[in-house]
Amino acid sequence: MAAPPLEIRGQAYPMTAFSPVPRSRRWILSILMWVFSRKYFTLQFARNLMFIHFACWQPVRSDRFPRLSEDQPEEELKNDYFLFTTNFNGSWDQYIDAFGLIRKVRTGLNAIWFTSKGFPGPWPIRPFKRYIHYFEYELDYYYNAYPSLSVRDIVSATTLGNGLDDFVKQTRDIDSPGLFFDKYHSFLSNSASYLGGTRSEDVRHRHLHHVHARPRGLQL
Amino acid sequence: MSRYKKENQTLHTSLVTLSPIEYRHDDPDGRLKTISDTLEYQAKLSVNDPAKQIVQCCPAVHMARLQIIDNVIPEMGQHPPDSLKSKYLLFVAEVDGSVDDFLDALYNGESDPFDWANEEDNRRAHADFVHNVWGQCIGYPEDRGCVFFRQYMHRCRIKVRLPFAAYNYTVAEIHEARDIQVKFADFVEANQGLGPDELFSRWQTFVEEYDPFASTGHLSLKKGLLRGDHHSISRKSLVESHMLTSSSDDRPPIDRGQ
Repeated sequence: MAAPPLEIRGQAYPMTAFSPVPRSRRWILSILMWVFSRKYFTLQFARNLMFIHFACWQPVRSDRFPRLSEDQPEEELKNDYFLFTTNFNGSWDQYIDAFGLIRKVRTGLNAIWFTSKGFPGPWPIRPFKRYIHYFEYELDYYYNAYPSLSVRDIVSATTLGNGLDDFVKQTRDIDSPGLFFDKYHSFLSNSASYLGGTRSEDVRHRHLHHVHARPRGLQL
Repeated sequence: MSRYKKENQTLHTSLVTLSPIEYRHDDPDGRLKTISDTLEYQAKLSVNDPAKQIVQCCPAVHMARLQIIDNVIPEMGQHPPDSLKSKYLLFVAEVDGSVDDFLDALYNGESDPFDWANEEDNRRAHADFVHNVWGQCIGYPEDRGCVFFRQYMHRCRIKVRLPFAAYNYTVAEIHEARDIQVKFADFVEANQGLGPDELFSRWQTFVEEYDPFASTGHLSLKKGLLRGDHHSISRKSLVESHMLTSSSDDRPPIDRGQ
């Protein structure tokens, strides 16, 4: 059943991919997941990109698909599956390009995804894009609590909020307009980079993305 | 102490569930169609009338998606190809605080102190949404009630092995920070080129307008100006609720770094 094209308001684009992993590599994937989920491993490569809001990588074992009734037939899959969900800014192509083109990201991706069957590696980019495209699923419904905000917008707003708090505290006892004037302009020059595109008019004009989910089972 | 502080204590939870819908090919009871129609309606609302979306009424949700997995996509060239015997409903949500609180809010709706008249309608709309989506899935209990819904979702839950979040703020904090940022940007724009006396005077008015030294000691918007003010969730309550639930929950912390 083909879902209708989904219209997504705002700057975050969702993607879901479900790729097969041979059962023989199950233990390798488990170890990798364990290593990557440790606190000392901060997935810094993803954070540095500043365009991924949230992402999840998780293996789903072929014998762990929920079976909630005696009537429901048991799944008999030959492979385990690797579920990848992400919410990112920008277009699908930009996102995949970043994965392929940035070396640190490429390394991180290779480490996480090399267990998936047929994974061509993030470089060269064309086979990688075809791979992701092939295993991507259509969305039926998507919700975003702050559709007009990118990751950078959120980081800017919270950084400015912290700075503004400090500034208010520092200046609340100042009686001299001249002294305040200097401090205000000093604060402003330090914070200018966090104010771009923030006028209330800009915020009111939230734009609309028309996202046509990629067809299921695309033949290459 | 910074207002929007990055802490090791995670406030987010990634919820992923996979609920079996139907294993018969022709969908004789129309379950798949009911789910599909409900999601299509909600997807249309997200464009035409976003405030009426059911998920919009759950203040702790950052992002959520629902999709029908009608089959796995087999590896290229595999013969015979892998095939699912049942269709599944995948639900992924990034939420603040505990999953149980979120599921309760999804089932019951969040009470709106400014709109008591619509309270019952709101509650019914939420319960109907849950019934038209998860209620169509295999194994969903006959009884209606958020407790049963919660139990069902936990049976369908898939343990998230590697979650990632770029920031560690609640939805309410993000909206608040953005509102303050916009107000401040407007102030800067409106007061460019003023002399010290005039600027000082206007700044004091600006600060007073936003109730600067309320109990938190932070610059904060006055009640009513803040978007979703009645929905805001304090960081402290989230941390406490997380600590209460974390002992019985084996999910790993979301990686955030420092």
